[in-house]
Amino acid sequence: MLSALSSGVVVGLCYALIAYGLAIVYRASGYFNMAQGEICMVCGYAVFLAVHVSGSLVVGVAASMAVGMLANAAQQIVIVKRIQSADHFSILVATLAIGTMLTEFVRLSINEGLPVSLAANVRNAALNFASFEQVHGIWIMLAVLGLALLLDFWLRAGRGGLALRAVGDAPQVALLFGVAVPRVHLQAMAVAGLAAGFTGVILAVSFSYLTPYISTTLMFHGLAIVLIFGVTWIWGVLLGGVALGLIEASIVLWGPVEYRELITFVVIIAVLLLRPAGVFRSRI
Amino acid sequence: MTKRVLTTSRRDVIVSAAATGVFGALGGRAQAQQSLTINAISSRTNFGAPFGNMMTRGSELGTKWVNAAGGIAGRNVMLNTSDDGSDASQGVTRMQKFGPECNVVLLNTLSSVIQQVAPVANELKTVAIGPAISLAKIVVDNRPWVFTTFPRPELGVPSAVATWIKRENLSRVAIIADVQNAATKIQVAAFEVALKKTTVKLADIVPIATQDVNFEPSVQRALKGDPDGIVVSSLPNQAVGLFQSIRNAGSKASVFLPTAAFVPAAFKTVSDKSAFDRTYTVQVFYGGEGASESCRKFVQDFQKQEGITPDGSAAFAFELILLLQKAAKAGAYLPDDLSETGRAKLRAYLEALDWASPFGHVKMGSDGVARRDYFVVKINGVDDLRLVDTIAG
Amino acid sequence: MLSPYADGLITFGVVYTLMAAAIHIPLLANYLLLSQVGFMLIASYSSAALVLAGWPWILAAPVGVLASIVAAALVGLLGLRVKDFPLAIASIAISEALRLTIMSTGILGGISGLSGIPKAANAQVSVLILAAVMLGLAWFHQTRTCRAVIALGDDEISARAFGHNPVRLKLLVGVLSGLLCGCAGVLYAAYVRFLDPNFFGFSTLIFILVFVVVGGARRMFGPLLGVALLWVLPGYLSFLADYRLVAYSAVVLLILMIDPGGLSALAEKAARKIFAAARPLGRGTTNRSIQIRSQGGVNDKASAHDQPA
Repeated sequence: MLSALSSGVVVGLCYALIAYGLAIVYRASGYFNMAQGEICMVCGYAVFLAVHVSGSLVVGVAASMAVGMLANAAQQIVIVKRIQSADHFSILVATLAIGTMLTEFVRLSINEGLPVSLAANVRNAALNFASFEQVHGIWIMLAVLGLALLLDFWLRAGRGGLALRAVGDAPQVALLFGVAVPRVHLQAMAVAGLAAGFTGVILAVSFSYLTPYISTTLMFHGLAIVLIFGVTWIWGVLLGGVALGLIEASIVLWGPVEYRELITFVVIIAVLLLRPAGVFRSRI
Repeated sequence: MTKRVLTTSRRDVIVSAAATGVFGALGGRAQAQQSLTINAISSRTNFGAPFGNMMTRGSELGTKWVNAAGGIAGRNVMLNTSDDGSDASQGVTRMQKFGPECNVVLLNTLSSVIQQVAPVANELKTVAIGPAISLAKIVVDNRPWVFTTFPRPELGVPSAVATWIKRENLSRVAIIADVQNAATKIQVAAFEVALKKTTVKLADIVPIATQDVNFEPSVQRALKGDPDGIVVSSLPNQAVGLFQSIRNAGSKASVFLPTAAFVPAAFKTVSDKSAFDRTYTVQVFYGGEGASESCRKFVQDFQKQEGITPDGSAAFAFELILLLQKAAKAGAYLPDDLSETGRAKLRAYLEALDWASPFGHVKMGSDGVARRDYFVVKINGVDDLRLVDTIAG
Repeated sequence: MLSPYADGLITFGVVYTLMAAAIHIPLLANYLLLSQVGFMLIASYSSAALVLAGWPWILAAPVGVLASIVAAALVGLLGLRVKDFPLAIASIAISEALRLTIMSTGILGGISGLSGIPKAANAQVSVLILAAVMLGLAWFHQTRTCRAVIALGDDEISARAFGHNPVRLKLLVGVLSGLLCGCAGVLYAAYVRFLDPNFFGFSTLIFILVFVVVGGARRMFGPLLGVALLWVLPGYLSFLADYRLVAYSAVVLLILMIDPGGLSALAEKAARKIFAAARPLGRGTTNRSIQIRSQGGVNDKASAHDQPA
């Protein structure tokens, strides 16, 4: 049971990291990057490929971070910057198109879209590392906690975080104060890429397999968490993600499993009806 | 301003190019008349692509074999595969395009697409054959122009279950099943019925959703009753994930993977061979040790050409091209006769089909669903399958 | 007489155009109601269930449309409490909940779907419905109510200050959206003869949203243009085989990068240039554009974003 619940926590952290990647870009630039889920998937494949070549998960983790940040930065520079002034939905659809292209490229390049997974010895070693009783992946939880502390500090107290909030609130005023607005957008995407890199590691290590379509469900949950639990208050997002992961795991363990997805959506609707501005309201 | 004139050499080039184009077009047209195009609808992009492409490759290999043997009615066969994007509405428009142009269309695509394509085939009186329609209802509801050479997955279950239980001496079995997929849901119902007829206790049926990515809670729930046997009834991707989760949880229970769940190409990601201890499957195609010479040749050719091991859907997609060749030899497949009479000849031929295909005996049922043998197989490794039992279809 | 292929292309095109228009109308008001696929599900299933129970289509169709309108009105009430992107998520969640209810409970065919629906639609019927809808939309776009809806989308506070009632306007756009979804749902059920609950999911919403945005979310003919290009285009990309979806996505991206206002914005600019070129020199150049709103997005941060990095 502990093993199942801890896996629920890890899945919840996945949701939370995707949510945070969405939130930070939304905060800075005012749109939802619908390719975030696919970037996470690509990062997962980066881990797989790096481990396949080098045999080392450390190399895989580094590859995941690098790919996440570079991919998001490239997306910003090459495409999004050119349509930044457009309305929400144009950018949303443009990023959807980017996501689709990423999915298809991965499908065409790696194992025909059929599942891949990390070598059993690497995966088992990763899951059992620092495990306690039946609780696996403690190091993942600690790593995400560390990342959350870092990001929270950066957003609240760091100059970069301050600039990001300023640009998100009033870009023209920020510009007058000498803030390089396009650079801030790039930074936000890079931070989202870092979150995607972490997510990629979790996908590769914790889930039994990877496919190009793994991000579909995760994205919607990520979006819901952003809007329900607070836009960029990372603790709210983490709490929301973990709560959702635990609810899903609990329903599978003890509840009416056939209705699990239906229950999740009803909960989302109910929470939004009761607290339209979000459970915690935006803290930052 | 100087006026540029065409030099002789430039004019010659242009005239030659034009002439080449004209002759090429005429020659191409002549070539097209000599060749025979067989149309297929397949999911080549989007989420259905891994499955659609497997079938397409099977059909392509079949085309190669048939052409090497003289083609169909002396004509070289060209396979025209049109992508439906894993979307039913695109599948329907493809069928509407092909229906009037030819008297048979191959449905190398998802069952969810075929559900909407099948009524169109009936409306246009075009024979439509699917090599891997897992839901017999689709065919039964769309008689008489729609057929499948894939048997009902649930029919082989009772005998396969009995063989499995006996071999592994089981007493408690749990089932993990995708309840959002109609085919696996039917299969689970068949397992339930089959298990009730034995002395084995059914410990639990744990539903999962098609989009699930985390199987840990589902597996933990299934292992709660300490079963010595677990049935995993889901699509291949989820089956791989569930299988890995079961073994990662330390369970040594015997695992049974029904027809749709075990696809060699998907399971090749399982790197630890010992994970396959006590693992079985029931398949409608067997090309391993003890299989017929043509089966083995097909598997070897497929592996050589595509680098992956084929599954039943690829095998039956391959087989359909050979079937059309056979139908043409019998005077039933008349590609140039698009009248209702011409089409009805092929339909009648399929309705009465009783064929020793390269993959075993195929007899068409009156419901349009083929009857063929099932193979209970022990999986020692993805490319090391051992035949345990053959169940007559 | 139309070929079956043209018949299917046109009929599905009309279904998708109606759905795209259903999404487009609330977007005019910046009202992020995205349950349209759920409304379509209600219309399709209710009309199909009645027909299978023995009702004629002539009676079942209006009931299906009405069911969609009622659902839209109810969900529209939700929109009075939840706004912006939370409303988008909540409305998508409602749509998904409807689909999952059918799949989980097994009602109306459950995951096996609803089959055996008698066919009652073709391209001619679809085009008639589309013509009626487009005429209705064209009339609507000329009304003060539509201008009020657009004003609401620009700035709700100012719209209120000018005496417009946001509650009434939002309910109205919701109902209009429901009407269009109802027509699309009934037409769909009457044409495909089999209803698969998986069709009425998030991926279909995205599929249609792309039509709206690429066509132009702020212009009346945007949805029609989007469908006309993107629904017909995949058929011509067959030669790309495995790369077809990549090409399709690239086309979508290219159009949005050229002009985020979509095809209708491009068409309008082209028309203006042509008319400006055709106008003799010396005459006045009064711009009597029929465009509904000006350039730029809701959050026009153009000047800030154009700075070099």
